[in-house]
Amino acid sequence: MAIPAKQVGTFIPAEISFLAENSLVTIIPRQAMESVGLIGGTIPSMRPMRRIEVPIWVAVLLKKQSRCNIVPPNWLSEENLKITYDAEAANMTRFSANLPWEWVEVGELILGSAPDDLSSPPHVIRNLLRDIREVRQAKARAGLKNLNDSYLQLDNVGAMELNEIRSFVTMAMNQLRIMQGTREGAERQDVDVEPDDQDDDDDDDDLPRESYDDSMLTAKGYQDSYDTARNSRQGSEIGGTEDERASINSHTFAGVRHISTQNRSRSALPQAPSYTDDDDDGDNEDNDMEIDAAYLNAVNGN
Amino acid sequence: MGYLEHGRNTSTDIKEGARIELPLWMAEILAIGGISDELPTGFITVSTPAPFSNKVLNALSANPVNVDLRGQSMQFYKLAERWLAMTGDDGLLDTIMDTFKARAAIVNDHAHNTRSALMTDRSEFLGTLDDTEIKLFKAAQEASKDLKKWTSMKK
Repeated sequence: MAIPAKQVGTFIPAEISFLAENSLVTIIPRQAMESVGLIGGTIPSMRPMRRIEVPIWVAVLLKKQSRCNIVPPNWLSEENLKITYDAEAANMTRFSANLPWEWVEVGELILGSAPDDLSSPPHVIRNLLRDIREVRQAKARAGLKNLNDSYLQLDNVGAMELNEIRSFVTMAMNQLRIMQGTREGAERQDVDVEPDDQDDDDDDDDLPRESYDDSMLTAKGYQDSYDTARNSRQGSEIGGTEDERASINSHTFAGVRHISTQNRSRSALPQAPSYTDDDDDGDNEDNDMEIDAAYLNAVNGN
Repeated sequence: MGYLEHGRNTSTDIKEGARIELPLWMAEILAIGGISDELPTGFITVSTPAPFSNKVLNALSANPVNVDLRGQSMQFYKLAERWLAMTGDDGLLDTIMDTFKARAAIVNDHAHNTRSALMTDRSEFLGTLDDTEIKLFKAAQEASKDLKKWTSMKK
């Protein structure tokens, strides 16, 4: 299965939107339905006019068949969007925390599938959303001026917004990291310590670094990305060559991408040698656990 | 080895003190390895490559955006990596990192505004990008294009 080179390192917007469809939304069913047990979760039983929470994909499906009304989330009302817009415009250095992680996608989905369920005319909401996006884009652009080799802090940035700048930021930061690596030994130590102070969770050390490496391999095949991931892991044990890492504020997201690249590489190489070293195995298990957590976080919208 | 000197007789040897241009990889090896145990100095002393001369660096610290990096070297930043790894010149590193940051921000702006008022000086600036910056530009432009495609698909 061939994947376009650019998608190895990042998501396309449709994929982000697909992930967002798992977040919950309140609906008012018009029909009764038994509860449905699915692997990803149970859809509760429905009684007419009794509000329940279901994943957006279910809501959109039922709405298409006129079997329910979608209750738009609070932040998507006209008043709240205006408040958010004012907050965004008032503070040009921070993103406001009023919007959820997948606000761009959820907004589009609800506007697209249930415009008649909104409390205000859809075009008003759409315009407000667009205004907010533009203000926030300007902030992200301003934030990019402060690029450095170890981290970039963008609190409360949305999934789609992050995805838009991801490929650029990872490439730019990797270049900076390589150049920073040529500094003399003593100063290199300082650089090393700093990111660890920034986040208390030492465990995710491995994850961002590797996913980051993978994301750089946009132009190469899976075999290459697999090999490089292995080499960099070995390299870090032997020579400590990869001891500087870059982390974007939202590790979780890079993590999700990482699973998919890893899985693809593995399935493409069924005969690939397993790790013989004990340390390596340990690393690997660690990663899997973190990936699970990261994946859940991303799916739950944290 | 005389053929390494431009236009010289290929049969003669290179004289001591001659100035010749070598590929960076060869210069690196010759500069590091000693001639023998008694003479620990390298075969050659490397002088600063033209892209990192004081003239260029002054221009870069004055205004990174107006310098034609591509004219200096197609692979300006890759060359810088190797050169810095050899010399460990932190002052030079700072200048080049600042240059990269300043230019990257503008590269990003250009990538996202396909039809902007900047159009006139746009092609001029984009002509000065080195290969690393061109890759950045393409990545940013792809992302912005994909997003536009997705948004227009929804309507």
